[in-house]
Order: sequence, then C-alpha cells, then structure tokens
Amino acid sequence: MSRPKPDFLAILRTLRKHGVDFIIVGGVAGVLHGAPLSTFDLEVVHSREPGNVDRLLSALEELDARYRTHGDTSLKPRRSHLASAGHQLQMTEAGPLDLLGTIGKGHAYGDLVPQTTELDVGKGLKTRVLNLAALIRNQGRDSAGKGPGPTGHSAPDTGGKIQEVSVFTAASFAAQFLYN
Amino acid sequence: MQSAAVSKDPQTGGVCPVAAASSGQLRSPRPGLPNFCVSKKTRRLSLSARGHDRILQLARPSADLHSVGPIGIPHISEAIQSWLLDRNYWACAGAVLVSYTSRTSIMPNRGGPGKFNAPSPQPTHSEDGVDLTLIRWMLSLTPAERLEVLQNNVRSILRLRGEQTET
Repeated sequence: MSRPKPDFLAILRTLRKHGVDFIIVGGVAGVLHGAPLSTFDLEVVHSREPGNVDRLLSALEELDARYRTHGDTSLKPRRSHLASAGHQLQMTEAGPLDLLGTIGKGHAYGDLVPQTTELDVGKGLKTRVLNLAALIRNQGRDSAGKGPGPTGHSAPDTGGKIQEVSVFTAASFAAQFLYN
Repeated sequence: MQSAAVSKDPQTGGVCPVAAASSGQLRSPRPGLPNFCVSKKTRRLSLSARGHDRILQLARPSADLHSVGPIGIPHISEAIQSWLLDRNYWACAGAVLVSYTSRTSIMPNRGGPGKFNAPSPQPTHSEDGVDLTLIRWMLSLTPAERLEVLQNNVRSILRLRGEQTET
C-alpha cells in the first residue's frame, strides 16, 4: 500500500457492504451539506457495539487498513482499539480513514444518530451524515485527535442553509489554521 | 456520426438539439467510442454544439496527461466536470455583476426610473470572508455530486503535487 488512491465512495461502499453502522462527520460531512471545502480524510463515528466492531474489522481487512500515526505502519487495528472511545487514524488502500469512537464531549454513535440525516452519497448508497448544527457544535474539538480547542464559532439559532454552511466553512478554515 | 445521434429524446419527445445541430459536423473522439452528446447525462446538461466542442478540447490534454493516445470515457467525464465548474462559476459571476451594476447604475436601467430588473443583491462573502457564491453553487448540487466534486478536487490537488492517482 505504498500509493493509496483516495476514494471516499469506495470506503463508504465497503463499510456498507459489511453492514457497518457509522456516521459521516468532519469535512466530508460538511461537503455533503454544501460546504466548499477540500479534505483528504474520511472521518466516521462508528457504533462500538461488539457485533458492529466485528463487521468493521472485516471491512478494514478488505480495505487493508493500517495505523498511519504509529512509526510501524504495518500495525493493524484490533477489536480493543475499535471498542475504545479514542480516534483510530487509519490509512487504507482507498485513502485515509479516521475511525472516531466519540466526538465532542464524549458523544458516541448512539448519541449522534438523532442528529443525523440519511443522504444518498452516490449510486444509491445511503449513509448517515451528521447534521450541520451538530457539526458546528463539535467543530475544532475533534479534528481527528489533533487536540482540543474551540474555534470561537457557534451554530446559528436562526438563518438559512447558506448561513449555516458559511459558519461551518469558516470554522473549518479556522481549525485548519490552528492545527496545521 | 451515427444515426442514433439524432434519435428522439425520450424526456422531451423531440429531437436532441445538440445531436440535430451537430449531425455530420461534430467529431467522435475516436472510432467505437459512444457519442457522448446523446447520453442521458449530457442531455440533462443542455449541452450545446459549442459546449460539446469545448469538452472535447478539455478532454484532449487530460488524455495527454495520462499518456494515452485516444480520448476515453474517463477523460470526457473529467472534462465535463471542468466544464460544469467553469459554467457554474461564470453563472455566479454574472449574477454578481448584474447585482453590482444595478446598485451602481453603471448599466442602463431597463425597468424605468426607480425600478430595478436585476435580482435582489446577494452578498458574495460572509463576515468571516467565506465565499458565498461557492456555497450557493454547492447547494445547487445533490450530495452525491458534492462528493464527486470533492473527490475530483482531491485528485486534482494530488496530481498537482505530482502524485500518481490513476483510477
């Protein structure tokens, strides 16, 4: 896996094929809601139910996932890793994939499901995506383990979709500036 | 040009205008490659003969970049993406220009004294400096199309960096 080819749809399709329960968060979720951003990693919050962790493991096996944060890049994720609340930053044959046990103030899959929308992300592939307001609330506190730190942005109480997307986009720019 | 190029459009019941206008004039990228101007997707794009030619012009360097001789479907797909991006950008830019000129009275006001025909002014940037025209454009796309835009952006950036991202 010396030269992974970024392919968000391929990762999503593989996760769905194995019946993994997950929610798209982060930059890709923002783009799916209309934010004009570029991001290279797909961030998902997965269900840490034992059955789902097993399905996720088999999906990761198919994607040839390895840790990209450790010195030893041959390290594969294990059941105990995926069952934890931490962030597992993987490199797969279809590009970077961040598996987040929780986001924000310890919000897990089950907490986030009511704040999601199911979207068709291509070729009839329907996937749960975190709503914009929830994305904004969690902005900057997660960023795939890059550290805490609010960006000063907050979700608007009122206003149209454009305003909401704009706030998220600005917060993303700020987060990139802070953490990169 | 294949005779299928001027077949009836199943959606409108009429003849595909592009195919009709271009019959005998437009060039097929290579023998055996289906004429893309009559595909369902490009009918939806309301592709003109000029747009067809423009896409072929964009597809050529793409094929050259991949060091392949003839233009293939992937190059045409990429060219359509670029053409769409360009078209949407200029549509947004046009709207902004109309909005601006109506406010500054540079252009003659056809609506008579005190009346403006131009659409109500929309801000181009948010207070944070975010380009709202891009957001409006993104919101005009489906989620699947937005993901496709992101995917193409990532590939383009990697290509600019000199990394190989062939699919």
